[in-house]
Amino acid sequence: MKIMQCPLNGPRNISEFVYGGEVRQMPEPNLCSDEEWAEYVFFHDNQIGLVQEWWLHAPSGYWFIAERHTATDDIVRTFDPSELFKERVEFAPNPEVSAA
Amino acid sequence: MTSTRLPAPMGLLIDRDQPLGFEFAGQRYQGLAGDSVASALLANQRWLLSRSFKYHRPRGPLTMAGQDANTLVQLPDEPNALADRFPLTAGLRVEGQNYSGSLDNDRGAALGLLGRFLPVGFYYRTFFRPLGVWDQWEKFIRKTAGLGHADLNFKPQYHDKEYRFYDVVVVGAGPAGMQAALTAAAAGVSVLLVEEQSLLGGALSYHQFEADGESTRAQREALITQVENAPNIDVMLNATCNGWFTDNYLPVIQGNRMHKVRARECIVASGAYEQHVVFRNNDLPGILLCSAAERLMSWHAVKPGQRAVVLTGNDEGYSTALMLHAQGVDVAAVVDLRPELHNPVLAQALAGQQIPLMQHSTVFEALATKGNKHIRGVDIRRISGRGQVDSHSTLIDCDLLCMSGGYMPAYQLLCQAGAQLSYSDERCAFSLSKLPDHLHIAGSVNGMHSLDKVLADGVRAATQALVNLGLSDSVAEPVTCDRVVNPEWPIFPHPKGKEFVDFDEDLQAKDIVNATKLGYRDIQLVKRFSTVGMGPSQGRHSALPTARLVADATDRTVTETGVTTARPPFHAEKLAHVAGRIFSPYRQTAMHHRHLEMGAQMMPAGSWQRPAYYGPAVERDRRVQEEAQHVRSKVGVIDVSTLGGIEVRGPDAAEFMNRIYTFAFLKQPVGRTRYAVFTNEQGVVVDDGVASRLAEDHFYVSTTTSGADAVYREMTRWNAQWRLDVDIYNVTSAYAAVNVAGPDARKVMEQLVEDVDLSPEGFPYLAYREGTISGIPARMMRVGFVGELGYEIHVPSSYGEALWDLLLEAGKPWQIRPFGVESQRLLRLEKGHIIVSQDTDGMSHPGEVGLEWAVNRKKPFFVGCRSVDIMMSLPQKRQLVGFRLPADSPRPKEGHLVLRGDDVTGNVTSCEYSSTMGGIIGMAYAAVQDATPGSHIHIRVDGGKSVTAEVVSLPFYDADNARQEL
Amino acid sequence: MSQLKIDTPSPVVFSKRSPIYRQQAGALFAERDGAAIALQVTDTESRAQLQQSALLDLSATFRSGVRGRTASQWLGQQQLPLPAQANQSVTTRDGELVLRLGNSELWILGNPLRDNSTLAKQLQSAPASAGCYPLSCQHSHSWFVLSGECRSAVMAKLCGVDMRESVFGPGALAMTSVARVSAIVVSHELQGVPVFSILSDCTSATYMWQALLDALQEFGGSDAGIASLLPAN
Repeated sequence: MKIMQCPLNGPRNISEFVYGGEVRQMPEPNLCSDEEWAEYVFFHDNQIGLVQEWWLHAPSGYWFIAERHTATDDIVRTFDPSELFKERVEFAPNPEVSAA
Repeated sequence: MTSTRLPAPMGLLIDRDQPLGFEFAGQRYQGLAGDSVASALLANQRWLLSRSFKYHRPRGPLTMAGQDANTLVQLPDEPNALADRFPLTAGLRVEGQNYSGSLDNDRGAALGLLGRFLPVGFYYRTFFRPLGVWDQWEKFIRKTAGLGHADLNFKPQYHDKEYRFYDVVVVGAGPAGMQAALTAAAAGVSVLLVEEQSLLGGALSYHQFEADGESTRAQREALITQVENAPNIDVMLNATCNGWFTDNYLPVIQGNRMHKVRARECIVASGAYEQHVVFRNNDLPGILLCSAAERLMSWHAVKPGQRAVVLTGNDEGYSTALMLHAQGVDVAAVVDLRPELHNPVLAQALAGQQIPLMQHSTVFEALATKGNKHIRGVDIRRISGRGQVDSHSTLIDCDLLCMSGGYMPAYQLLCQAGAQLSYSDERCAFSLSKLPDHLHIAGSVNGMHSLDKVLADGVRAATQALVNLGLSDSVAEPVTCDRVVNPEWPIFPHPKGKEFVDFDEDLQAKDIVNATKLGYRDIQLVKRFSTVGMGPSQGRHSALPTARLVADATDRTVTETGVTTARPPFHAEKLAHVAGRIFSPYRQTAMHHRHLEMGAQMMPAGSWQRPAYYGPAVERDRRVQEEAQHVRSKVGVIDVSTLGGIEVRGPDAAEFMNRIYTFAFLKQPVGRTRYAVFTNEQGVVVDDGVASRLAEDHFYVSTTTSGADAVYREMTRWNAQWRLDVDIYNVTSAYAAVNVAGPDARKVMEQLVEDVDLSPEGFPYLAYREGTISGIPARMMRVGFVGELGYEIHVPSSYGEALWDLLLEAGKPWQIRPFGVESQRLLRLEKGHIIVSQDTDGMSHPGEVGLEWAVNRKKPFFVGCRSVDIMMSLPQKRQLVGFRLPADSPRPKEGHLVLRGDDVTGNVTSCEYSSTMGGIIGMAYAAVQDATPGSHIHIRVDGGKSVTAEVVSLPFYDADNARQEL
Repeated sequence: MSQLKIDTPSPVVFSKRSPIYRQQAGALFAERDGAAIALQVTDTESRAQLQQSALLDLSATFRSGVRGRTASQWLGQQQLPLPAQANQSVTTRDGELVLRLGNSELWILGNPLRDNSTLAKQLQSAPASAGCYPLSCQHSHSWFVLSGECRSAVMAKLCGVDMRESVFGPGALAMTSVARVSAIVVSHELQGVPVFSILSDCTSATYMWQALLDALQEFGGSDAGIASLLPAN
């Protein structure tokens, strides 16, 4: 059984973790086209290479990011989300509302 | 029957002073403590232990080490026990398997005569024509197929699991394994040494590396003493490492326990399987591998026969011959498959004992006694080419044939880890390479066959492991061994067949070749078509000859052909070991025992246990209707502790709520509740609940029972990105909760709640209040889920049971009565309230289920907002509607289809009989054209019938919602 | 043994109850922080048994927690010691336990062997501060103690984290899965007896208690009360 290095709790059996999907850049929901939005929701790259993924350590409720190679399944590194997400995120208002 | 045993030093495992009586196939025998069932039987000259799978040929032991399946026997409470591994106990009653009549006179042997009509893969083309004939064949095949019988009344024994952690784990305690363990232990690391057999030593415990075996014995004892004296080596005997999993995670099965061992470094010294030679009748009882004969003599002091022939492709067979001779067996000949003399010293030793040596020859056919029950002689021929022999026969009488067709590394664990096998034409053997980091190989599994090289290889592997652990700077010198122990082609097809490649599956040489002729050229296809390697011994003996035959037949190298994928388990594994102690967590509310005491029928809701209704099961329908009526007319109480609860606190609490749920929360007043709908990024409704605002910066929001964990996880994952100043806290278990509902609910509350104005003005519908009930701090909301005046009371769960008791006591004057999940579902259905994941599916967006009113599109964002916009702007296809049917109509069930002509336009999601409404009510997805009240929808019910239901507007009951707003 | 009360109340006398009080029906109880705690389950209980292998239910004992940006400052204001690192615990002079779960979540567990009402009052009346949120760990979690020399071997049957003394000594803390349930395991001492405290979801407390008892049996252990640990007078 694979060992995952939790940035907070150290090395643990992978059964303690829950996969949370790929880390992806959300386009501005109120400004992008329908097509851009649908691609964001439904399409995945599915390439061989490194991907960044959300992982949850279930017993502690701690979310972190893992960089994993999709072919070898090697987990290259794991780190706290604050490395990627430093700023408070704001959303552009709904243009139909602002226009009114 | 008496049995005489060979004198010491033979008999490492037995206790000559402890005879044990036992039974086999109805006959009584005597063995000794330390015998296996098979060794005890052979000591009594009983060789026929089983019948082969397809042809029901008599079989006896082949390896004496549990590596073959010829010794499968039936124990009183367990089928398919390996007789050469199962320890003998006093009074043991053992039966044979797979026969019709008796083991000795099996009517099934007639199948052997039909061999011509049972070619490889015959079952793919038979048994099904003419149509209907299978029903007859099935009965017959069910009776004849299978091995052994399972006692369905057996009582499972306690099995469990245990985790263990080591720096170095060594699999296999032969010379390489023991040496590796000692080298590692000398550096101070923790070492686990895992050995399958009941004694340490591997080949050192049965083979003689020199003439009299003295030095071998001394070497073994020295290593064992050192291992036993090393405080940091843990030894596990009778322990099988049954697989290799990522990061050196090793299931080691010993007794009734599966040890889950995590090794920082793992050294596999699993040894090599001696191989058989393929010739006609090579499966007769009395034909053993050379190492098997040695084990029989060394471990159990059993003389394997009176007059023996030894067939060998390596020097090891010569040692076997000399050992047999020393133990009083008349060795009539040593037949050497190799073209030239290899070892003059050993040849001279044979000559010294007057043992004839026949070079470049093979056994072409083993001759049998009547009924193929034992070998009686051999037909020896000179080898004239690859797989070909001269026509001149030399016949030799014998009752024992020991054969060694070379070795195959015990590759399984290593290949499970990703190591690759490649075949060397010079050495005629497979070897392993490309091991992952932290996994090492040592000994004969690594192609070492001289004892000094084996030991050196153990040192090398352990040194490499220590280097990985940062405890050594040494360079682990590679070790090479030049000895060739495999003959090039020990396969001699015979015109009359029965030259077995795979003993388990009764596959002959031509079966393998014919599979390739039918187009199955890839080794994986050959396996699946012919079943080669799929029996209990899993290819330990069949993989090598199959690879050679398929390579030859398809004009490829043996490396290219390869062997099939090795997968765990390594040995057959009992489900009891895998299941272990069975951890099946369950959750109970604080009021759980009160429900039991009040006669509730409990039902699982995820891992929770909830009361479905109160009363005996035979009265279910009546009780559910009564409970619902009671809530409508008086007052009832239901335990809703299982609902999820999440505290959202902090300066950004309202902003966070606003982004998670579809409704607007920024301006929700303190002291009010609001319906909260959660959509996912696809715009699908995935959860709902009620959000109470306790303060400007404090919300308490509920979720569905099954959604609690998922909603909490999504919330925390989103905020890991948004970085809002908010604390999100899952308090599902911190609070116990009840819903007190019915026209008399306020009267009950007035008895209990100390410090809150309960008047309709002071505590209106949808308000939130905090107070105390007999000193218990309580959060209270007025909710309308069941459509009556109702209060949800949340208290810290340590007080849950006490709260329940207080409510039931205080409610006595108004006949308060508990109601369960089933009646609650009926009550909410009467009000047209959806239950997420019952009335919603993987595509339901808010518009389809009547929740547009809960979607606020003025705010900048909520999860899935863009998707909801897109979905709701498309032409709608379906709509969730309410429908009615008369009480005497067949009742549709959840999932029944709604049809419009031949088209499926939807399905029923909820449907119940309602005594309050006097008929059947339900909700279903219908085509939008049929969604207006007054329309009719057609529902296909059980038995292919169709009912026509009337679409009505929701709610069914109390359309003005007056009752819940009292 | 002046801590023992002569009149031993039944757990149901209190409205605050341990989730598993029924599992120790027949035990002698005492009041602890507004609920009942088992003093003695069998006549043959002894300190020696607790030092070998035993299971205690301390759920009645006072505990509280906070988390957030300013949680450690708040702790300092309460004159309580802060464990130096994430996933560590510290025992105070008065036998209370401070747990640091992750980086900024702190639990304070009262001393199960004596009354904690002073501590409870102090913490409950302490002013709240921005960035420091109170937690409901008194009610959300049950608190069991696995005592004695066999505790690492018992945990090895339930948990995939290595809890041998050499790698999980006093002060160590792990948030992990025990018998497939999320749990916090703390290594510390109670009156000189080495123990593991196991805090897990109260709604699966009965299940967890049964799993722990089952694992103990191999070592001759069973459940016990706290009387054998009370400081002698």
